[in-house]
Amino acid sequence: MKIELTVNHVPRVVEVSPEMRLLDLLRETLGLTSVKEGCSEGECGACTVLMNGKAVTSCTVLAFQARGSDIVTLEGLAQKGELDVLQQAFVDNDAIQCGFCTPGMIMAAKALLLESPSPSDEEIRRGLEGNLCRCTGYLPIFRAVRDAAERLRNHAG
Amino acid sequence: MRRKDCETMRADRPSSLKELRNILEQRPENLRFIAGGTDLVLHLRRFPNEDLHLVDLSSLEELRQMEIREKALCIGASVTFDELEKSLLVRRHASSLARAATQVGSPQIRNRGTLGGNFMNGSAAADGIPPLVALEAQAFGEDETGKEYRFPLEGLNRSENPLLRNPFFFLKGFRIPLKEHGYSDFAKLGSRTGVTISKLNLALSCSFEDGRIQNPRIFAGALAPYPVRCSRTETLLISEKAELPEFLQSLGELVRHTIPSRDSMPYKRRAIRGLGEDLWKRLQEVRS
Repeated sequence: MKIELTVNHVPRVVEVSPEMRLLDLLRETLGLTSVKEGCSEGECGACTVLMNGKAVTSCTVLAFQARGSDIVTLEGLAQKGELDVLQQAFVDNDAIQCGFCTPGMIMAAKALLLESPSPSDEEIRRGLEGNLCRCTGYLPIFRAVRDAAERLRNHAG
Repeated sequence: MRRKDCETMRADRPSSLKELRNILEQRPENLRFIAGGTDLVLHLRRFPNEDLHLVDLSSLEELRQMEIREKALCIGASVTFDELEKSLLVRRHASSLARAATQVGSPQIRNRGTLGGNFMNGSAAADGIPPLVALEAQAFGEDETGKEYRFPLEGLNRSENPLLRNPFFFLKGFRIPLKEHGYSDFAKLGSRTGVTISKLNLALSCSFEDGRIQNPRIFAGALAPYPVRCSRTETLLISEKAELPEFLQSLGELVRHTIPSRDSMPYKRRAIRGLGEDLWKRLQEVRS
């Protein structure tokens, strides 16, 4: 079946099968390999993307359910060659080691900041609780999200 | 496991109840409803040879409403846990349900998982069901002939309920009667603090009249296939003479009677006291 959706700000018409997951559509059909397959059960958050502004694990969404949706992956964040504030904050705070969890982590953080531009420490922890990282111990990631929120506030001010 | 390419698998995404009814009238074979997909998509991966006809309910606006209607809070079956958590109506009239919603899975799962799916999936550990039962909620839905049904959640025998066994029955939502001076609460225990599945949970609802507790209803979840009523604990609450130790002891006894021979009985018998203490403390705070 054919579905229409927007992926990274570009309208698309794609052929999907009933059992195809959003993860498979993004990675295999559209070549958006920032979307990582980790646990395949919605536990690790590596496949997190934005669906209509909300963080979802793309391994637990079927592609046909995304008909008419606005999907954003990590590839859709950088604009005109400039990294997104969150991406830059992750670099500046050494919040990346092996990098496997990073795209999902950044997309979860993006959803958090879209909803709550000045999150409390507790809100940051809760916003990231669906994403596992085996390398960093989470603290640099936490600092990066807090830093990004501060940069956005300063920029707005 | 990867799914095989299913030639016969089908999927529909109706955009209105009318469209959905047209599909159901055909009584399609191997029909399976999907909403958030947080359980079913994993099932599809686990059983790659199942050829299902999937019908997605998540886009039906009629099933996504939360409103006060006929002295009840009505919550559509496709309302997500994230929406429950943030709804002022739910926080005001069913705070136990809002509290339970905040403790379901991760943000990603709360953004997709629905209250209707939580009920229909039938897990003993479903966090949304004990609060609904304690709040005297009814479920309502429709079958393939268009006939509407409404039934109380309390005492439901899931495996023998003809409606729940009818593959063409679809759940439209839940109806929670409004109570004057109503209060409700929820506590949960999992193997870790966040993103955890209930090993045990406890839901309470009651109302207050001149500071006295009226009509207390307490249900334990994840103890048996369906929430278990804590009748003796409720009686203690009404008596007004109950102290915390008696209250906790009655909960422990409930566990001992419900799962006498299960290996987890000694653990759950103690664990429920912790949940009970949380509920008790918050209840006393509200009363004072």
